Amino acid sequence: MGLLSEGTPLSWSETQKHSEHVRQHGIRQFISLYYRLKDRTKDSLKWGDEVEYQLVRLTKSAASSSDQQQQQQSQFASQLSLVADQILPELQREEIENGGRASTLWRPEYAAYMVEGVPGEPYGHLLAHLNLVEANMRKRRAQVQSLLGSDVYALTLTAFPRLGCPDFCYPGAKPTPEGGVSCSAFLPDEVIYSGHPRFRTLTRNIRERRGKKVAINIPVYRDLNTPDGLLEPPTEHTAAALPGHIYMDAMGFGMGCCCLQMTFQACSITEAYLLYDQLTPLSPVLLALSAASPVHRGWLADTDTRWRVISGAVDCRTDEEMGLKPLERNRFRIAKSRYDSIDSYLSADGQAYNDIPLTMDEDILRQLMEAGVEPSLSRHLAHLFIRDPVSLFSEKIHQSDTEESDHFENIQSTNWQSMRFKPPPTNSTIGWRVEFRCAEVQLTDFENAAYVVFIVLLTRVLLTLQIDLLMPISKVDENFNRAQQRDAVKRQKFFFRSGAHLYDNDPELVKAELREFTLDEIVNGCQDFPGLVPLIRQYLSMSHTDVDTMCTLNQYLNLIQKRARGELLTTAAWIRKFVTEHPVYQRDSRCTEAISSDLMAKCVEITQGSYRPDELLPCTSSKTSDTLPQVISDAELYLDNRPRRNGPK
Amino acid sequence: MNDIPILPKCRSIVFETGNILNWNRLKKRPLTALPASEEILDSIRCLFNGWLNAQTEQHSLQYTDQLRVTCPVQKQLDMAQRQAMLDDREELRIYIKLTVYIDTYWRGAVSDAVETALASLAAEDCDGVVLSLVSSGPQPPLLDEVKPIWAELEELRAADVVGSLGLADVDSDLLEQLYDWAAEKPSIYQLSAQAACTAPSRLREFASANRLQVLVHSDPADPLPADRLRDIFGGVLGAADATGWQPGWLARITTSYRHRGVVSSWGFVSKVQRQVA
Repeated sequence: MGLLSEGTPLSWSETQKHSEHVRQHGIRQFISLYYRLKDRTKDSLKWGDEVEYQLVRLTKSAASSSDQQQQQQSQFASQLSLVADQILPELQREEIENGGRASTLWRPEYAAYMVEGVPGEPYGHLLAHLNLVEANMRKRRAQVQSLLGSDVYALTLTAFPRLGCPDFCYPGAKPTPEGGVSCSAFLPDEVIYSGHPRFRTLTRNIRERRGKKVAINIPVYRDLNTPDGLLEPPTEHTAAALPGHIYMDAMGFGMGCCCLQMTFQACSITEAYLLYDQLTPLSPVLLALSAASPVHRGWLADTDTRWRVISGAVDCRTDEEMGLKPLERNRFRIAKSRYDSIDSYLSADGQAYNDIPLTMDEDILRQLMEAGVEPSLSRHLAHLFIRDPVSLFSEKIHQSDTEESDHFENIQSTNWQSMRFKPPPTNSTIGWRVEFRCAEVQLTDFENAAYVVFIVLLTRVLLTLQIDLLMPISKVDENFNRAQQRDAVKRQKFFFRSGAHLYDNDPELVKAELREFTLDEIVNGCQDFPGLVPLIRQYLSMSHTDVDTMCTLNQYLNLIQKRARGELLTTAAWIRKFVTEHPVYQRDSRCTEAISSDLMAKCVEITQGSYRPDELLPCTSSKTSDTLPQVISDAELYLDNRPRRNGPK
Repeated sequence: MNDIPILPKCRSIVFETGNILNWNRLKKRPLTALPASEEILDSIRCLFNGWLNAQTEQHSLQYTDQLRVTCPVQKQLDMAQRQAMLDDREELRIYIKLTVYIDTYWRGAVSDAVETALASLAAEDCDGVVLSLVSSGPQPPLLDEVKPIWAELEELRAADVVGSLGLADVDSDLLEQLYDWAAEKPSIYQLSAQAACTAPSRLREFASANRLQVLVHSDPADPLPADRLRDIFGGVLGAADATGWQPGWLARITTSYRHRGVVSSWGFVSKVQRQVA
């Protein structure tokens, strides 16, 4: 969701004037936080998830069924419903009335058709807490759904297939390529959430900084009748379209996608570095396993994820920064967009694997090092801080370096990376945290809970068994490329440490013996690697799990294992199959209005549980519950307070 | 291999693994997917071999009556954990899963097991002991067989050496009878992880009515079968040392960091015994 300060957004040229001010004070704010909080220890494991929803309007088509057949229409029509600003106040009412406390919390997201929900309290450290996730997700969905009209559905859909196609939104709106905020040939500005100026401001500023609108080109899936060359006839507003690619030209195409995120609190800054680093090689694995977005702007892509789309959608780099022109007005060549995979590990042991050049603001690096911030963290921040702020509010320009942190958060929250390292906020009891950001969101609460629980269990396994998964960052980036490809689960291999080296601390040996594994081998195990799920089961056998939680975990792990093995399709593969097997599909890679609406109707049924494609979902369900069993919370309380032989020390 | 026994007078051996999680790190042993039933036996074999190789002379072993076999390699790591135990006991949760062999049970065996387990961690108390019983024959344990064993646990509980008590795998009849009879009731019931989704309703209702936590485990029913023990002794020491060994008890010990869901150590101590002429 990012930083939602109140106030009056500045224009781009005004914002740019304050760029150095924001950076300098942002770093001082960080240094102040760091000093106060770097020695915090014994923070407990708390964690939470964030789920994003798209509001989709599904209506019965007016045409008669014979017309439908003739004109290859569906019995449904589907659009994105631009009502987020209407329902958010109601969604947030409980929180506002109770001083920030509620069982679920809601935030706006980029698009007027999106909302984001998180649990009201973070989950705790017990395995029994894992059994609460799905129930809380169901509650959130029910809450949103109850506020929507009878034709509108809250879907956890990563990408609406016909975003930016004619008549894709309701109320209808026209794109304004000649002016406005996005200047898109396809996406009207009405698509941007208007209840807060942040999103429109970001859109406009990124475009103005860049000097032209964003250009996203995603390779199209080549089928028998797919047009050669440019997919669509060129116009003056689509000059940046590449042949054989799906062209998109607005921030909304990326930031209007939904995803699934998790944040973990570590017990200390060192543990936070360790989690950040060890989750990094797992990011491409989760991206491939959760892939759910093979269709963009009505075209079937040759990729299955949103990653490249969002990367392009917020790419504020100028031609100079991208290396297309010599550097004159800009300071640096920058290799990646603000939205992309991370560029360096943070732990001391991880430094040996940082093998891609890190562009840094040297002055900021010097300040951090002189202030005693660890070199790895200094380098990380000096790299994040090469970016300009792309949104600034007039009331927030002058801030305290010690009491406030908006300038730091400004740059931090507009570096959208695969992992985010989050210092404790000022004036709170929250500790050092790590955010895991790659997973795509699935259609059902069961699946989303399964993926979330899988990652949480992996963090516990990593900390318990103390295995080391680190590999050169360049190889992680290579894995990221592979993870996005069509059917990556079945068709790609990924660099991963082999089992023989899980305790190795000789980077040269590790690099020399890095192997490529299929996702099945990584998740389920093989001769040379024990498998992520077997490792989880080993951890579970050492832990206290209650019977209902174990039943639920078995169901979740079963789903993950089957997806990795290819026994169940990923959501992307299922969507792709739906499109290509649809009676109206012309083998031309087009996801027409008819196909898309039928797909949306099916997604609604799947979400509601009235239809279960058995190639996508298993037939069992979990034993998720709204609350911790009383006996378990009582037992924890008892153990925390019980008298000991010879008394507590 | 020779025909002269190495430990002719030995009647009792305690195997103490220390933290097996450290073994893997130190030996850089790739994590294997040994079935649970094999893991304990394999660890004993490794421990025993390691111990034998570290013996500089074997002559004095001829007179040894009792033996303690520990892991020679990892003392430093374990020392650090022992220090943490002393400094920070409040931050840790210690659980013991105690398997008692009814056939070879003797009065005091439970205390012996718990105290040995705690000593191996440099701890003075633990947060819970879950009792698992192995009967000799196919019939399940009888209440009268369990009573003395449970009575020992009650003493430990009364002295705050043990924070809570539990039972594993007993049938509903025995559970309910024991619950009725015991002064200190179990607060935990453990059943096998495979049965998690199909736990019988009688058990669930009883647990719910009596505030029993129902937890799962993946431990084998009989972790130290006598014949496998004799195979290990035969393999490590020789046929002449293998006869007569019987399992006494096995204490699986898990230590976790409070409020973090991270296991800090896992291992076991075990006593095996035999009669000697």
